[in-house]
Amino acid sequence: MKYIPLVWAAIMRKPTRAVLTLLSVMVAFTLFGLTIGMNATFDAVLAAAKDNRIYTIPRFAGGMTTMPLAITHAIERIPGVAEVGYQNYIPGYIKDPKNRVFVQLYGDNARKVFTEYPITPAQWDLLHNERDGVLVSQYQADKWHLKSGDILTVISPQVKKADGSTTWTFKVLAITGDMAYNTNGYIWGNFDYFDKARPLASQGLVMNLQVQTSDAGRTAEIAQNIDNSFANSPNSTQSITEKAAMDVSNSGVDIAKVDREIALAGMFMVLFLTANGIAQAVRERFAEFATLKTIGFSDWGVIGLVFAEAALPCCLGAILGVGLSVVLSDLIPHVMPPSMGTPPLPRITAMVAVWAGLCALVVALASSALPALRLKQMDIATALSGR
Amino acid sequence: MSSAVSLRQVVKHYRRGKESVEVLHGLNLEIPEGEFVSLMGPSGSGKTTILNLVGGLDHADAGEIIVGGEHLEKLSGGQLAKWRSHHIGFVFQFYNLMPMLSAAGNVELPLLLTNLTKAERQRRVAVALEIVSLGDRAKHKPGEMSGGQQQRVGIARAIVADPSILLCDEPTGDLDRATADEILGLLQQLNRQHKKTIVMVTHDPKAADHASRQLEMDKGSLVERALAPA
Repeated sequence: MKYIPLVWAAIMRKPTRAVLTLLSVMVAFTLFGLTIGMNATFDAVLAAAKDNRIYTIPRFAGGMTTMPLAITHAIERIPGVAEVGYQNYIPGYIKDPKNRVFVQLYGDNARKVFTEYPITPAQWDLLHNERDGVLVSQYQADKWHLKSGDILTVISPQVKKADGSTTWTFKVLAITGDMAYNTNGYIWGNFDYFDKARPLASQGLVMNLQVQTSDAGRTAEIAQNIDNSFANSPNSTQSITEKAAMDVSNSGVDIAKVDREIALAGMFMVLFLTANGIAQAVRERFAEFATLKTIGFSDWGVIGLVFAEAALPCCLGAILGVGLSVVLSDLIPHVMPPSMGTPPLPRITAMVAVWAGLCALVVALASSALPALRLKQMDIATALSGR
Repeated sequence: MSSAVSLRQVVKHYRRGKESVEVLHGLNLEIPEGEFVSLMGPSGSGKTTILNLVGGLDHADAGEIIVGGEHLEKLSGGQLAKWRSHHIGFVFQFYNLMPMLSAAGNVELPLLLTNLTKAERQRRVAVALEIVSLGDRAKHKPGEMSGGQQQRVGIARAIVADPSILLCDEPTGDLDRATADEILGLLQQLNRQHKKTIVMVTHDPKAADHASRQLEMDKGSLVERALAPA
């Protein structure tokens, strides 16, 4: 602690340079917090994904491709399958096309498939009994100012009723809890109500299935068995386990990898900046370090001062930058246009903060390594003479 | 009286390009405790080399260097640094103060290497600044002080850890006559009242006259100079 005033005075010797360095480090660590925080969200989503659930869609899905509801019975007979849920949805808007909304319509066994959702048995019963009812999560209720008993009218030009109408009317039955990683909330209704209201030609068609297995260890194998069963059928399927679906490394672009590379680029920027600053500071004050050694500071004592000079702005910048990333991630839902919904938000966990601290120390170590070596090899007599 | 500094058959070479130049040829020197010695001689004669050897900043190629009873050639770099912090105070021609620290901050530097409490460090800094008559300038930075005042801060820094030996390299070389005399008077006071052994390198015969013993480097060897009449 007694050396802090000495280190601080050395840093603030060039206040403009110190402040600009600190700002640059802070920006880099803000980026670090957001990107690595995003990866923490991906990891949490993956950890929360059920390991006994499979999503099955038509193999050649595009737009609103469907498959016959009857396929669920064939899948139920595949060994290891415990439950098969099914779903269709109405993409539409409330009053104005920019107020986009999705109503998901599930079969009656959704309560057996989505057991982790914060929906009480009484609320499931309500949905079962009121065929035109919907359960609205808190996020959606807040967004559209809905409460129990309200009527929700959704206009969907893409999904017509049998009479040609595009207006779908639902009764809000209950406001339910949100899921931590379903950032846009949900509106769930009955498939049965939807299906009967559709033109005859469109009835009995679903967009995707949710298959629950009885053995989590065989889920991937069962997903393959489902697809194999319909391989030569006109309704061939494409199945993916929920774990695999939630793993961003399986997507076309591994977003987590891109995130890490962005964070790494930021760290390199900080490294070059700090290394240059420290090298310059040591060059400018070589005689001063020689004086400190003359007074009795050891090699390691002087190296420690240089390291502290690099570490202080790095650590301070890391704290401020990660703090700013927390503020920014909280701000994102408030600045996104309502029509776009809320994207997955970075979670600045304790582990993200620990990583930021470690990176700050590694950058400080790396940037002070060469100047430290130069100071260790210093010939005091020569340095004092100014030669 | 025992020796504060003892150099025996000391040899020192420097390399200049491919050439090796011997600046000290089997040099012998005894400085008793409490003596104020001035070292004179032409540039390149080896005066500062002696100071660096005595202060443990440089190593001899041959011979023995015993300072305060310690054989310096037997100490490692780390041990030398620790030994210096306890036994040697350095005063430089260009003061070598940290421009970003106040006078008190500069004087406190050697005490940071001790286990003293902050309060005790501050007390000792205040005493050292009082000795050099700068008690009222403790918060001033070097850039806000005259050359003479800066040199006083340098001297306060040299004595604050209470070393037994002060090594002064041209301490008045950057000062006018009147200020130089004040600084030399201060060094005399430290020698007489505080019993510090002082070795001072100087080009200035008038500065050398303040010492109790005058030595002159001549072709790598030392010769005694007769003291000027008081």
